[in-house]
Amino acid sequence: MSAKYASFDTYELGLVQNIPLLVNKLSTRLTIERKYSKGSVDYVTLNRDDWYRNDVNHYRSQIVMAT
Amino acid sequence: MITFNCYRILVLLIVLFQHSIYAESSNFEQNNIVELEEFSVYADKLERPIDDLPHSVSIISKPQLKIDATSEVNSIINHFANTYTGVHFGSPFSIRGVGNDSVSPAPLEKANGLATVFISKVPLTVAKLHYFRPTLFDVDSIAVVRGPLSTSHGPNSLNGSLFMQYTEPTYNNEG
Repeated sequence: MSAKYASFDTYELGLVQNIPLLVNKLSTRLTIERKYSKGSVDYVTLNRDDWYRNDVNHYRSQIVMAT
Repeated sequence: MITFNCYRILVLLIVLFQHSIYAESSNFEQNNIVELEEFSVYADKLERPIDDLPHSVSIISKPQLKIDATSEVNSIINHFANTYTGVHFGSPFSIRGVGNDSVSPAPLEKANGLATVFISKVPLTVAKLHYFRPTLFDVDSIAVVRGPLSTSHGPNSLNGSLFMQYTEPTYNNEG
């Protein structure tokens, strides 16, 4: 579990969990993420802050199977 | 005359002791050999060592990623050499000055991309990148391969590819 916070109402919440389905044979990894930013980002190319609103929810899953 | 003799003696001493000096330096190198950890590149299907790859590859692995709440994918891409993107990740990024979208307009915006983005080995089209923005949470490594990859990674990788690899599942119940 991860939680990060920054200024300009910027936060990131993340949850990740490995779930073995078959012992040493089959497993999955679930990732849930919530990220929101009211708008300030680090514009490294111009070396200054920039404004860009960000509001995303991500759900990822991967499955790995031993062969 | 004395100076000349001193010079000859000095040369003689160097000739006599150069082997011992070499032997000492050789022992020093043998005692200080550091075995580097082998680094496999997700971008290469043959899983060759990075030194054997014919392409120009840049990799940022998880320990090198300094991610905070304000970190975006574009801010990481800009740290690679010869790779540039703007603030909005949906806008084209460029490798060696050539954009990933296309170098020329096409009817109905159906141009083929020139640099593919792979998310955990799954390719994304340029159109998908306009509404699907990858994030850095749980990312394992990011690699940029510069150079033509059309033979190994598809026709839309003429200019190179960007590989984002998220942490792969393990067989342990952990979070």
